[in-house]
Amino acid sequence: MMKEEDRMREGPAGSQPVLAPTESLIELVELSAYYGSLQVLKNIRLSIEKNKITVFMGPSGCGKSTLVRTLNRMNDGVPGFRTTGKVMIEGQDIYASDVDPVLLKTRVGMVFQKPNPFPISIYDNVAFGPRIHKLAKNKYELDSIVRESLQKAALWDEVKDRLSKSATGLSGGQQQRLCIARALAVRPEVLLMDEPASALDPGSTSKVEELMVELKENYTVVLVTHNMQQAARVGTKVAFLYKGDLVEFGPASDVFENPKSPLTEKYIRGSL
Amino acid sequence: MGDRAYKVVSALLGSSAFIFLFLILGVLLIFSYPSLIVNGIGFFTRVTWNPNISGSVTVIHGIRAMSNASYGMLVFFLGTLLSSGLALLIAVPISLGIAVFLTEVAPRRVSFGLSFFVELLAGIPSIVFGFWGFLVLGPFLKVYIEPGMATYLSFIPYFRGPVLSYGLPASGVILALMIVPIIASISRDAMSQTPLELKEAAMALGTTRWETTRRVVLPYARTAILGSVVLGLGRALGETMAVAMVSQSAVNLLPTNFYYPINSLAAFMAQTLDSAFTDPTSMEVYALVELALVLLAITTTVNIIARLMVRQGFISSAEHVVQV
Repeated sequence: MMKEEDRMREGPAGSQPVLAPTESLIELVELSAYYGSLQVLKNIRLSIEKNKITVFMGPSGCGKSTLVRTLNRMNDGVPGFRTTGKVMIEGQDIYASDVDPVLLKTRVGMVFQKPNPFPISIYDNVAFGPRIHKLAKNKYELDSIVRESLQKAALWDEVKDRLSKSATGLSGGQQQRLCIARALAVRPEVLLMDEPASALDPGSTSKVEELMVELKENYTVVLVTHNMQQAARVGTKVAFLYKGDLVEFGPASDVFENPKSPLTEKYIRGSL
Repeated sequence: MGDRAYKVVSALLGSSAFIFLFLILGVLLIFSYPSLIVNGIGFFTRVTWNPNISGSVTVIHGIRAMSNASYGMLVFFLGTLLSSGLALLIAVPISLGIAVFLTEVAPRRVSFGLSFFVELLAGIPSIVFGFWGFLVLGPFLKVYIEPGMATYLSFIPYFRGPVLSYGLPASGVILALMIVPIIASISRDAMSQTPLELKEAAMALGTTRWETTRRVVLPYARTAILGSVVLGLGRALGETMAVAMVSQSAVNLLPTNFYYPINSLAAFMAQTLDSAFTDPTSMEVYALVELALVLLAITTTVNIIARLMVRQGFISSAEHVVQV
């Protein structure tokens, strides 16, 4: 399996020589992760390209959520969690001792599986991050950050007349787009999305998917999903993980139409 | 037939608390009635408590009473409010600190151990607190703390000396120690119910642990915390023994500075009941029962408010997360 993995890594670079190394924003170098003595990620090597949607896909317990949560050090507070190897963002190992995990999260934003707006107004949800980090000098600037963020999240038109209403009154899909707007408001470069549509109805799901595609113009998106259709629809590159191993990583079309690993093939056929 | 007996018996037992409360209220009303009639509204405003047992018996509004006796609750009412208020002032920050540490900071094992000690503190009998207060805390405050306060806070007339007693400071500190476990444990339970999603939402936006606690956890638990404070207040208001032992039992003396002896409704009742039975008209007993009625009214009100807030807090405190 290691051999196939190696070939996969060679693959895209070999077939697409136009990709300059500077295109890669995040590099995972021999990344392993453990909860206590349980190893959940095994020597992961992959690179995440700028302004693309990189998808982590795999069955439950494959480590895809853990993997995405290492990219913003979200698991730091989990007792017993530790990593080895490196997560390089623009050449800087984010697990190095001189990196502030709090500030890191302003560069790498996150949207969660279950929409989790704060039970305060729509406006205050979006303004939460900018207020914490003092991104606005005055009310006018804050207003425009809130408006722009909601516009980017394709929610502005639906909520502009009720910004002071509680966010918990929104539908599930609207709440999730609000959470996206809230994440965008602190101006991250990377947006991590951990199964952002798995709690949504089909209509809301396709809205969120359209949104992801728009967002990659300005952000680097990392999507975790167990929905293969979704991965195929929006993914630029797809990583298939199984039991903590990176089984396959390549352009979405290659992974789905011409999987190199029998494991990937089985997963795509739904027989894993 | 058997089912019917079962229903009747369980209904009786089930409603016993309700029945007891109304029996107690009834008894208090009946036995304070003579005092309510004779002392009237002045009972609530007078400072002097003097049964004047050596005087002569007269009849007022058809009720026998000692002539020139005076019954006023003001000293005890004020002492109760001041000591309980001071207790809250001390206990609330300490309790919230404990709750925050236990839920947000301490490793699980440390948190578990410390929680046990917090609950042990709740189980200490109040007379033990009283002895400790009388023997150690009171003298310590009077010798080391109160003179300093009198010197450095002399720009506030109320805190200017002279230092006279353990009085209010010792009562407040003792009561604070007794209510810290109540406030800390309820607050801890409420704070630990903050949904992880909300905490993660804040952390993913780059908030520190302290900011997450302040902006998500504390607001989420706010109503329940408020409820626990009022519950603690209820305990402090009704506490008898510990206050009786450290307050230095003021009678007919308004606490015009911070260091005066005080007295509380509950402590004064316990101290006075014995001698009250020597009143040939029993008016002093009736007046003490009226004090009990006042205390019951205060603590019941406070408890009802607390229950409502705690219940509300666990269901809908999410609605009250405050703005950044």
